[in-house]
Amino acid sequence: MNTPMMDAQAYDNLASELRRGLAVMAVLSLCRDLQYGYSLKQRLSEAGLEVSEGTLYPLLRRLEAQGLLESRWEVVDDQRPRRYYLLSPLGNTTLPQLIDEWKSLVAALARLGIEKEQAQ
Amino acid sequence: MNAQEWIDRYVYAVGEALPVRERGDVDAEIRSLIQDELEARGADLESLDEQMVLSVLEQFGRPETLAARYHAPRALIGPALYPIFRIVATVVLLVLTGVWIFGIVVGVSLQQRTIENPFEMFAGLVGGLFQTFGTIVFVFALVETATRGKIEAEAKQQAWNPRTLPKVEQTERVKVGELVVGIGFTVLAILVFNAYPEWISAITVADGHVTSTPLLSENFSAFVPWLTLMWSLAIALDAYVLAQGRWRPLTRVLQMALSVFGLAVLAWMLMSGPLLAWPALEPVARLVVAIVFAVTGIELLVQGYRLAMQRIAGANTTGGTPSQAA
Repeated sequence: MNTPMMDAQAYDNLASELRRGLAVMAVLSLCRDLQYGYSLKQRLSEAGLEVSEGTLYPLLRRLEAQGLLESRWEVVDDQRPRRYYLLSPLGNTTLPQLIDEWKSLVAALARLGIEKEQAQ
Repeated sequence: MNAQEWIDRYVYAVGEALPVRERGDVDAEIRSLIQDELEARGADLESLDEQMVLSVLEQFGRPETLAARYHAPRALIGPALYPIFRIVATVVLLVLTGVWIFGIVVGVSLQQRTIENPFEMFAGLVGGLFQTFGTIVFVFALVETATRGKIEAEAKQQAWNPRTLPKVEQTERVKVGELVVGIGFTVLAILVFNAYPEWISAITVADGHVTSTPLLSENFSAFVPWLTLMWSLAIALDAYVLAQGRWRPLTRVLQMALSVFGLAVLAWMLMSGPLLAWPALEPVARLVVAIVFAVTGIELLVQGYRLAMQRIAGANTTGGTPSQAA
């Protein structure tokens, strides 16, 4: 029997929508330590969470605009400026809430039995 | 091309799609991020490799997409204003077209102007419509800029009550063919009565000579501007209804108002002097006008009755709901 396959582009859109929500939580948790754009991208990628540059970098700015991150420019190797991000006090209180939210979502999905249905 | 120039072009293209006040900061950040990426690939920042730069830029994606993520794209007319904009634009453009037709036919019928180049005249209308549309867009864009996001923000702040939902209007589907044919005949009538009244003439053959005598009297021509006004308004209304796809109570009321106007003109015609230049046919002409008067009157009554019944039905259905909810 032919297995119906979704159009690759449409599937990518669905998957990146899912990832985008998770990226917020992942970025905030990584920013508990000082990070810059590329280091974040690397850390996420190494962990298996691929987020494109076009998504990640604007996301950092949005999180900063929402007061969840703080940023500062520093000169690297006495040569060029680089922007560093760190979790703000507001981010510090918001992150655990988001993690709780995430856990309850995972539990809710488990109660819906999505994995079991996939196995069938 | 110089590798650095590609970076400059990319940053410039992103900046173009951003508000001016954000450009400097985003510019510096993207440059720094590109350099980080190049450094990670082992590039020598002093002498960049063009291929490597192009590959990094490709990875960053289209400049306009990146810019859109930095800053949500701005709309000339936002979603809060758009519905009002659509109504205003449709009504103004239709009225303008109606007034234009009326102006031309009255001008021609009063012999003040002649139609030398119909295409040029039509182009004038199209130009005018574009100009008006542009002005409406401009005004709405100004309002949008002045109130940017405030309308949506205010709406979100107010607690929403489902009881404030507007009543579903009693609408009727439009019979497209009927309306289009109606508009066609009305345009034809406007043209004939105004530009070519000589077409309405009696042709007689006597002693081998064909003579054509105008049928309409001098007295009748006094009514032509009024008939033209009524027909122009009817075309505007029909075109609006056609664009809307359905009759609403308001458009039905407007149609009835036009019928009342028509009845007044017809009555005036019946009470005035001769309609035709040929006395022998005068009774026939009066009979025709009287029949049109009667048909219009009956239609008006039927429409009024239907509209009233709909109102009563509407009042009954909504009347019961609150008591059930309470």
